[in-house]
Amino acid sequence: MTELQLLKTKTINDTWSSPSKYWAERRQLRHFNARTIDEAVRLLTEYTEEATVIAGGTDVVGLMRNRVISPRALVNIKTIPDLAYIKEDAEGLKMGALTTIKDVATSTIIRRKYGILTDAARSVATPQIRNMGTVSGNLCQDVRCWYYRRPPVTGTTFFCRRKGGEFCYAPVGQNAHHAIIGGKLCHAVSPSDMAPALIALGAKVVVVGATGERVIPLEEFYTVFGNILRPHEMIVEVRIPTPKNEIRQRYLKFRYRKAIDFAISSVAAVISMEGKAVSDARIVLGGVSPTPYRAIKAEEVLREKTITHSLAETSAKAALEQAAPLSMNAYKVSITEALVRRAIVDCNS
Amino acid sequence: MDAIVPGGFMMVNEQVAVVLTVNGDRFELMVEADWILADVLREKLGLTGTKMMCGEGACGSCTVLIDGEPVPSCLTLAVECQGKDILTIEGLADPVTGELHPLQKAFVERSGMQCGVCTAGVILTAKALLDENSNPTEDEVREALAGNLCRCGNYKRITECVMVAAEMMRGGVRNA
Amino acid sequence: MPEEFSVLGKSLPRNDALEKVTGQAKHVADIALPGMLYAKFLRSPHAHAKIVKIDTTRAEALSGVRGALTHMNVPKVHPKRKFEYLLDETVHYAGEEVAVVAAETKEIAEEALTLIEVKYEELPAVFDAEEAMKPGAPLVHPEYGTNLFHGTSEQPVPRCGSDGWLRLEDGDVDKGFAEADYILEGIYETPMQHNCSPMPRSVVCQWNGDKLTCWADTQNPMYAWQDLAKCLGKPQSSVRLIVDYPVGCYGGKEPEKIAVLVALLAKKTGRPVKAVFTREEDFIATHHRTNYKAYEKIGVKKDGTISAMSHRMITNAGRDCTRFWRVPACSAAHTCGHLYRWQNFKWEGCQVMTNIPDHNSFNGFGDSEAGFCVERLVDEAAEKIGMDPVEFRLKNCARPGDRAINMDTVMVGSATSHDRSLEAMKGPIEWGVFGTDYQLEECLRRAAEKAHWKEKWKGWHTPMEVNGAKRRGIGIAIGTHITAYRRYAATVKMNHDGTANVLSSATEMGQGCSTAMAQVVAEALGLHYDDVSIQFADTAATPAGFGNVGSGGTSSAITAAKYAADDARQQLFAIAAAMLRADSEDLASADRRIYVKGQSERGVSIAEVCFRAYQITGTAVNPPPETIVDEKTGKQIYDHAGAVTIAEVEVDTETGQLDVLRITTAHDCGRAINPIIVENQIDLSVTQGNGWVRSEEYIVDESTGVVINPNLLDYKIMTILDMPKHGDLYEIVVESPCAWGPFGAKGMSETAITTQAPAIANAIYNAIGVRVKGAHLTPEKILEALAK
Repeated sequence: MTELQLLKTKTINDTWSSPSKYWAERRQLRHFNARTIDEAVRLLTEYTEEATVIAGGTDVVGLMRNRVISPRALVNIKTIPDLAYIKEDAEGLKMGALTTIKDVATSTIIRRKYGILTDAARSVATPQIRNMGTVSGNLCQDVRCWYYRRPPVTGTTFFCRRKGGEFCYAPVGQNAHHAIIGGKLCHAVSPSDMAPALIALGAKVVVVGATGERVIPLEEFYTVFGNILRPHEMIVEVRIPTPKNEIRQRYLKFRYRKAIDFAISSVAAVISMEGKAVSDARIVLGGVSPTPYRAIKAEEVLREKTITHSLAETSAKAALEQAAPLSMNAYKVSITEALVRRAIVDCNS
Repeated sequence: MDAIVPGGFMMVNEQVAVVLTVNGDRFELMVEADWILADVLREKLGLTGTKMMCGEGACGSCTVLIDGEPVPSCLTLAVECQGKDILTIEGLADPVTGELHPLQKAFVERSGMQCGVCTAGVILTAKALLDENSNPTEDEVREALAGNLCRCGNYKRITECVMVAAEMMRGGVRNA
Repeated sequence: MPEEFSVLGKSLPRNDALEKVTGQAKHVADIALPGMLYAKFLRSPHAHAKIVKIDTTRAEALSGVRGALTHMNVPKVHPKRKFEYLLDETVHYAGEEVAVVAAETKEIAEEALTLIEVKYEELPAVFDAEEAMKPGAPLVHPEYGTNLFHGTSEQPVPRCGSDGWLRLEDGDVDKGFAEADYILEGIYETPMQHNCSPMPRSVVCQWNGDKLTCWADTQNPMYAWQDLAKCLGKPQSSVRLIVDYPVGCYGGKEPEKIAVLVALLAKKTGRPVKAVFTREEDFIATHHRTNYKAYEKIGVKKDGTISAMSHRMITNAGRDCTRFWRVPACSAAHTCGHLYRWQNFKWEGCQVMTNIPDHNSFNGFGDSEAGFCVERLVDEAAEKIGMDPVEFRLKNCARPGDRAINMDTVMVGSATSHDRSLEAMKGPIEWGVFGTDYQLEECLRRAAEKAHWKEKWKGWHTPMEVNGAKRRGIGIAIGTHITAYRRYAATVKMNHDGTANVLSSATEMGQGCSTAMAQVVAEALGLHYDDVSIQFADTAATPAGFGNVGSGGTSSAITAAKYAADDARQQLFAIAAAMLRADSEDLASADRRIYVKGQSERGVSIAEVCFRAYQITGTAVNPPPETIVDEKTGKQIYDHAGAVTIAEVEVDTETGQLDVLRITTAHDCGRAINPIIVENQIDLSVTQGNGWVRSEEYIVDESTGVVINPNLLDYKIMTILDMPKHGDLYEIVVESPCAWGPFGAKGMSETAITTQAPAIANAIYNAIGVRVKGAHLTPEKILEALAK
């Protein structure tokens, strides 16, 4: 075997006698129906890292099944009343944490003013999952990587950095679907559709925990290895500020199939216009980075300019300037550039 | 007790009582926190009409209706289904007369299935569509069934059967 | 379809539909027996390793565990003629079973796995076929001496040289290439594909004393049963395999070692045992379509004559040769051997063993792979001489009466060749012919007409439409595949009420065999469709038959049922004749009655005859294939079907996105017993053929040999939105009765899949002017091809 092969194989477990090192063994699990936010926070505080919030469950149940996580307590927040709502007020749009993706996709309020959210929501997974999945759950879902999520039933798990190991398998392995930008220690991708769209709209999340409430811009919510929620915290609301100017918005999602799949690459563009010129632009990429990726350089290209096809192209190239594709995913760079360009052009028409 | 004792007893998960209302019948049983509805339906209640093809919500075969909405039962915890109305394929025909639902009739008459594993999920998802939209276009049918995989490739016939059933439900004349 | 049939040719509702729409159809995974235990498998993380130590003591001590098996306590037998033992001391692919435990619940069984101690010594492994062929490459089975599979002493492949290459020649290709005006060549690849059977592998076993009952989800009940009995060392008479509602097998769904292991556990524990794979296990520990690398060369003359074709095909067999030499033999004999009227022909190929899961005969085996290579090259040839691709195929495609060869001609390994001597098998190729049912020409004409080829094809290098970055193109491909006619038996048991039960070792896995069989038997006997009930695959009751492979359900199983029905009818007539004081030859049957022809009032009900006779049982065995002979030439008619597909696509040249807008597939099927089911079956092959190259990627990690995407999110099969709409998918059923099948019907559907990938690839070429010669037509690969 070559040195590279040896490097790859040495961190694969070769005995099953110490499972907790490589995957989460099944433990005694208790399920709690929280009746209030306070109760939920209390439970989360009691169990700290060993508790997991379950909303729609469309990600959590899969993660448990594949032994990626093994909580001791599941804190069900679906039993908390008045957490599913879509309402407009002077400040903007507010969505409760338990608002389902289906509700977002079919909301007339959202379609009227924030069509990018409608498109993003409609593109999520399957109709069945949209019926169950919630906005907060979609934002908190774990990254996608077939090394990270591989279940022990296959005989092999990969003890990667996300699990406490010292290695990321993607750069030396099968990485056609992995990150092309923003990946260094980890090259998994953030699969959420709602996150890029909401970040492009300047959304904030309201988080409640043992230390009280805090309001966090969604673009500051994510880290390479997860999000900034402390173990005792949960999202209760997502807020979108009323746009100051007229906005044009577009969500484009590229995937192999026309349903079910996560994005190979997605682009959320929200462009504010003042007359014919761009007053503000927010362009966020999904599926290409361990977190939603704000393409700041692309935005700078557009500011105070009139959008032309060639400007859109320049902006698209700028978006991917920092791209560092792996051995198999350079094609994602081409696709993402095309999507950014098209999203900008669509916003202009 | 949350560690495995070597050579001894397997750790036991706490079981809680739950009442499930399935196809109008009431079931009282003990379930563990992480038991999924699909397994409980199939193995504890003997309702094997709900099929498990992928176990991760990617295929739609395990779809059941909960309060009229199609959901993946492989991603639904049984313990969270208390107080909800669950409809499986076994409950679709008329409970008294046994008469088939128009979707079931259409699928029988027009060969809407081949191996039959996706059928329960497809029919229940289609039922939810037709309950909400009695005159769907072909595109609306396809969108509604976007999350139902059919490895036998019977999509064309499935679409046809749903449209035929819709017509039956509207009281229209069926094309043979 | 002539009106003379009362049941045949009608799109009657399937006779398994009711239980499927009400959720009553029980699959093996649904079986629950009192006291049943659950089995779970421990799998190897390494692709090639020796098990230095394996210890299940702690696992067996866990409360609720009832038994465990490892290589140390199972018999040293070879399930399905494999090199490996049932559980082997050496593992040969990542994910292979090394131990199995049975416990009271699934959870306990899973926990028990974590208590099994295994120490591996890793061995060098190889995953790529061409790498495995190189001298000095790690040997998958060192005792065999080579990675090139060339048969075993038990099952030799006489035409395979000792170097592992099988060579076929007809004419002189060097001379043929010299005579060509143009020579084109290329290297083509085809991808692996996984069956993705809707229900993963499942087996239940229960002993009653020394008698075993095994329920398994398989399409080859007879072989599975015989193999099971052999491995257990039991007589076949005391082993009973029941296959109820197997599911979407699509070629190569066999429980092999799982059935044996579960049977052993059931014996050891004294309890019934059930094993159901998870979807991940099904991906990594069953079978898949092998991948090909093909070096193709064609010589054409300006008038379109193919003066020579030569093929060199390398297939990756995986860690063992379960399917023997069938897959490449199909390529050699059918698509390469007789699809086109070439003047000179040469084929050489090899099967290379590597440390990945082994392959099997998935839908359209051998011909899909070869077709994807050959049809892309043929398209280039047509382009080179500036000929319309439909015209080129019309000129060169095989016709009825043309000489043909069968995969059995190429290798030993099927039931027919038991009769032949090995010496004969090494000799020159024995060419048979196609019967009048081989209708490639009509398929071409009708497909071209339905697809409006003349209007849509604008010529070489001219896409149908250009819309900014999006370009539309149209392409065509033809294909062929066997529709296995083999020895097969059936029994028709008449009941006192005049209804009939058919006993057959075929299986209803969704393809409609049960319905078609009932229609044929009802037609043959003069009964109503609902009078006939099919009892499939219960080895205690159903007579011999290979199951359902190679589109053999109609060709073989239903043929046997028809012969058995004819036999029953003869017996009925004999008795009716006495009752009616007439001669048997003057009798006819229809509408549940037997009557004198021309005097329909002079008759008697079939029920009455059955009651009188006490028991009428019709039995039959299909005459051997060698007896199906062409009247004119006296040569054996080979059991094949032809298909043509025209595909319209749209490619987004900036993202590589491929949309397939319209598919027209024509398929010759002898006679459509149930037209709707025939169309559904064509749709199956169309959908799987599309998925194969457009989105399904069976990815084996190059350095570890691990299947990296063993789930239905990462292994992407076509969704409803990815397939053309109802009005854009056309199935053309071409009928021309064949010489062997029931009422002239023959097996079908697999042939259609052989034409999907190349039609799409050729359409892509028309759209974007770039030929994709690699394995996949995914956005990634299309962009790659555009970039070059």
